[in-house]
Amino acid sequence: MTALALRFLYIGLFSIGGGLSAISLIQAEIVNKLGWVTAETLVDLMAIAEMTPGPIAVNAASFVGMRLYGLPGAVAATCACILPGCLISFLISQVNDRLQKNRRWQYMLKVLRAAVTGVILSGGLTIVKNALYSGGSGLVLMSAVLFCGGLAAYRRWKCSPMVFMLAMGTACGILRLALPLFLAL
Amino acid sequence: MGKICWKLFSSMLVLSGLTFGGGFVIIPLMQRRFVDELGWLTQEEILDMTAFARASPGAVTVNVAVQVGARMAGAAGALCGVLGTILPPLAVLSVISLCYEAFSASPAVAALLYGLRLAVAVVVADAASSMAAEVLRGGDRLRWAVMGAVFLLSLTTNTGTVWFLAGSALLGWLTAGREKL
Repeated sequence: MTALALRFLYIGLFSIGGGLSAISLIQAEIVNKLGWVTAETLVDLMAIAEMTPGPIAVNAASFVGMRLYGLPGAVAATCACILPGCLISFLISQVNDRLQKNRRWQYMLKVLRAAVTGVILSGGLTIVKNALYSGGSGLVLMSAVLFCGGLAAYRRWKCSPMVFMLAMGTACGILRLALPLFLAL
Repeated sequence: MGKICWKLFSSMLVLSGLTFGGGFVIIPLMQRRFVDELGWLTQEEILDMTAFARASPGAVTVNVAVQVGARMAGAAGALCGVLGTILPPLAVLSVISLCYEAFSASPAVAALLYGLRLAVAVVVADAASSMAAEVLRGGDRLRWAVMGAVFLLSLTTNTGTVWFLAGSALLGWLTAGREKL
């Protein structure tokens, strides 16, 4: 199990640039080099990671750890995987606090914020597109209506995002389940 | 302090439990919760934290949570933020690795996931558009150009976003003297 934790520490340290780089590291280390899980399992894992909450790297570590050593394995692999990133991003934010008065650094951050907003916008667009198509091609119109209605309601009432997501998610889910019954009538 | 830790933990638990696929989806949700609703951070701070999180290895969400936690309540806060973020995926994946077939075949699960995706898309679209409006209001043409270029590039190419961010940071660093701050 120490070997598992060390392996995920390594993956956590070198997966720069998002979830897919973590997947390719897992493929190289855990599948090809060590053979702890098969390539098919990794494909399953990617499908599961798309349907379940959380970052892909955390999902992968939990899944592989659970397969190999049960719950202790899942916890060990997950903690090992996130440790390097936590430490490094914490250190950078400490450095940032010391550079509050540096004008060049401040302007760099301003441009960087614009760039991050660009990435968030493109991520947001992908999320909306995926959500509209996730009910199957026959439901795109209904999904679009639900999406626009939800957006109007959310903007109007300005309720807590967490309450809103739980309420609208459950309501649309029930609607989706009940839809065949309506169509049968 | 205990209250802040609990709020942080429970917020991250719900937000992390609702975001599928990870990455930048959760950032607009955290912006709505921590900036607009709780007033803990400014919009600039959450964007800076996101940039630092992306420059570091590992999952962006976890790296942002650790910074928010450290800012609000030191080491205890960092721990609470991270625990809240990783518990939902850890629990869900542990259960699913035991019963994957039943999970992926269930129509009730599929319907709930469908509803949650739509609901998350609404909140993300709302928050992301207001973040973009903020950049546009600033009036700095270079920032408009950077936002537009990074938006189009990350939509159309598969290059890691870390490179776009590194390039933008370099551009900002080099042009800093020429702009009024």
